[in-house]
Amino acid sequence: MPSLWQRQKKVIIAIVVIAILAVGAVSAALLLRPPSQFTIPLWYNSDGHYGDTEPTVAQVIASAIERTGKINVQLKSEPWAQYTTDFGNGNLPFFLLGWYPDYFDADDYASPFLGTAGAASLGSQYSNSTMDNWLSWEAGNSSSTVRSQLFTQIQTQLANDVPYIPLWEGKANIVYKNGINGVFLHPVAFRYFFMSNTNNPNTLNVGTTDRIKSLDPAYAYDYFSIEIINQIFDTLLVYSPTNTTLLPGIASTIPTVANGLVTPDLKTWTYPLRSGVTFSDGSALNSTVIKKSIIRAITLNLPGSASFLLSQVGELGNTTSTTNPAFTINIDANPTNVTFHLHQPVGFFNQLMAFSVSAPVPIYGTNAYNMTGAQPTQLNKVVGSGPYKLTAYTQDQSLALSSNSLYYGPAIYASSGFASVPIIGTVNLKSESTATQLKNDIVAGALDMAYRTLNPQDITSLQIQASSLGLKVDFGASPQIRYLVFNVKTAPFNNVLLRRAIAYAVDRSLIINNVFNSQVDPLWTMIPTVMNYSIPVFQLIYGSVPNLTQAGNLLSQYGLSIFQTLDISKNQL
Amino acid sequence: MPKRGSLLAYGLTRLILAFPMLLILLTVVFTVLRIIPGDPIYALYGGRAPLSVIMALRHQLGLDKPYWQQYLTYIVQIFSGNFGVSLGAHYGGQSVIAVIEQKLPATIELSIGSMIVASTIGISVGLISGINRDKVVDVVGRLYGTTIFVIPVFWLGLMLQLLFAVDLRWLPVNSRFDISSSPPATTTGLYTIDSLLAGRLDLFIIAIRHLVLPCLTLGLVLSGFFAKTVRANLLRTINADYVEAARARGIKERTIISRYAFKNALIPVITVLGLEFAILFAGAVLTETTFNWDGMGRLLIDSIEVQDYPLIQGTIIVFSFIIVLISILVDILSGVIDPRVRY
Repeated sequence: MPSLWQRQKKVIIAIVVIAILAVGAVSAALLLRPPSQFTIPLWYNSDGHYGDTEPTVAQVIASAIERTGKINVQLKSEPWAQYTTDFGNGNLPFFLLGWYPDYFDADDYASPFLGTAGAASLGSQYSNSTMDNWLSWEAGNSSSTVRSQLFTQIQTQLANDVPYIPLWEGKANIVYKNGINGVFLHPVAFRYFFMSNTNNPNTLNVGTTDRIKSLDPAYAYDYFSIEIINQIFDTLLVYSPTNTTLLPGIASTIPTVANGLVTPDLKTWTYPLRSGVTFSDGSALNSTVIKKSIIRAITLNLPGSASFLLSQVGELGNTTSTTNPAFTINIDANPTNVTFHLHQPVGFFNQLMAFSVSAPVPIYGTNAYNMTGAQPTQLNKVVGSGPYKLTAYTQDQSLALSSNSLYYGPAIYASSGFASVPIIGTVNLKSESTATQLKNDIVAGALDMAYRTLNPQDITSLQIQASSLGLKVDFGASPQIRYLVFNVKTAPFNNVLLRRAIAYAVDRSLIINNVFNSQVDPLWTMIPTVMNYSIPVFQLIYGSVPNLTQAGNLLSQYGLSIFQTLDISKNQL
Repeated sequence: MPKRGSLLAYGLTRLILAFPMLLILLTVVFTVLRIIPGDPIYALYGGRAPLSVIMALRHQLGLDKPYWQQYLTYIVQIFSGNFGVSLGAHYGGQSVIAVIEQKLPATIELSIGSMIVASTIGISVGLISGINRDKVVDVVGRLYGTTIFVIPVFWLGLMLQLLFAVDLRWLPVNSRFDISSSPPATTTGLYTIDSLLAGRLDLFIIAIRHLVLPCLTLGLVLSGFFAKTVRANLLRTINADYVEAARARGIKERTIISRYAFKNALIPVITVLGLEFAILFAGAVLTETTFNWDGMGRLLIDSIEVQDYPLIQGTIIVFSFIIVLISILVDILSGVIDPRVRY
């Protein structure tokens, strides 16, 4: 008869064998089962470049995508310096980004994103030769009918290829004391010289979280610097107070093909000039000054400047050397006009001549601008031709603008109801370190106006308290857009089915209502509604609300039943 | 008494040793900035320029050269007094030294004011606590010293701001000066001093009013350290033999405290002043952001955000040099005050 130990040994062995078989079976079942989800990363900026709401935005987008039940979204973030480097190098597969226009034309929302060169620098790596041709044609065409047709094709292709998913367009907002009039949230040029203040007719105190980089038109390429430049400098053309209609500025007439000042091939643009125009120091502003100012902006090509808008986008060329005619700057400074000869047709050249980079600066006299580098942003070194002049400046703290007594065109805006500008004699601007400081200052009554950028919660709070505080809170259209970017050369986002599925899943209303308290609007194409030619293609194709059924179908077609778990981090599988 | 010669030698030696220390620090900062991901030129354009433009600028600025070459170039420039130019969007093209010269006076003004607040309140609380050991006043003082030191400086700043500036409107909300007034002409960069030098009492009052809340914020937080240190030292000296001897000779308690115990209790406090300044500069970063104070703290934050290498390096070097200098001065002062210190 077997001993107790021999009987126990058999039981133990049997148990071990059964356990091994069970573990093996379970393992096989787990390993071989088709995965119901896979993981994709979503990158966003972590250090407040787009404000404090960015992490919440990313979380909301991730939640919407995960509602498909087939995708996990892993949120990742980086500070702005790393973020821009990584997307510029094509290292971010799926990320959030924003855009503000350089010039007020739909081309500035199409070429940078959908042209091969622009898409590379913005991280999507999108490239479509047909799209490149359409973009080239619309940029070189002045017919609104032709451009409308081309932009319809461009936007339809955008919605089909989905290298980007437009999310929302911003609303500009401003808070100011009752008794202040003439406040226009212009989509391109916000100007103080239309404002009047019944509380204090001679002074306006404004706070902002923005800071100046430079008041040299050849150098400035940030919002606030350009905003102040627009008060101190005029350009050949200027914007109407309330909309994006162009008006004659230093030029006396807006050139068009119809009036013969633009050649039909859109390569020669002639601007007749007003006579007797001077800078605020009394020095003459003539065609030679305009020519040399433009050449200065192009040839200096200061780091971070908008010089390329003139040389490349505006097709003016980038050198004064005649060695290579294809790049030579060719501008005629005639006694009564200035003529630009472009290397390629550009249909929106007038908009570029209304942008700050083209503002003339003193070339002769004691206040002549530095021709070998940026003009210092210091008091008495900033001399323009606009309604205001700079009369006080403490870097990163404050500045003061006062009326330019030698302003050539106080009646420029008379047709818009402003007989003479500027109306308020002195505008003091203060830079705040945070949105909270800006809010505290306006609530405490230390400021008359707070413009850019309050937190959404603070705006809501100020709306509620507005009447008790004697404030107004206004909203206006803004050309700022926010969107998602896919690196279409990187798996799995190189598959359009996945991109379309995410387009179906994204829930814009959650972002708008929960994150921004309805202070922004949904965006259905890369061209905001404030621009011409905007068509809500994503709404038409993907619907106004998330369609999880369609998203799920596309993901199934994409092949989520395939035995593969994908975990992508900066393009590494 | 320490010999004059040894004290002088000590001071000079410390000063000379500061330079290699700063070189090591500079090397560490330079290396860390190059190691971490990100590029200042990409950050400058934020994707709004063609890649060719970005690459051309990197080449122009020498950022495409090998790191060792960039390092050597930078060290040579530093020792020739050239801290480089800013690469970032805020101060692009400006000399680093020029930018620091603009911002440093604001931090100095804030630091001096905060130290006055911290030492006045902290020493007073520590003195009262020490004199009234184990009484209610002492308990309150000790609680104050512990609690105030751990309060986040930005929270305290916001609370003071909301109360005194937004609700009561007794003081300005933030910044160094009124928006509608021009600061005094720059001589030292400290608005309080410059306004007095210009004979403008009205500007001096404006500057002082703007200093109150940020100095109170930073000073209160630091005062906790002073309070606890003074109390501990006072208790030690109050029970010392020489104080007992003074009591035995019939000297009044008030005289004993003021002439014997308190003065000797302050000596160790001076020795930690160097450490206090280091803490103060760290706190200044948050305080300057909270109160829109345009000083070195905000400059450091701004330059880190955009990886402005020259500005980050320059700011850290200046901060470090100031702390080293203060530490040396404090050590020397300790030697002068306390005859027991030997070098």
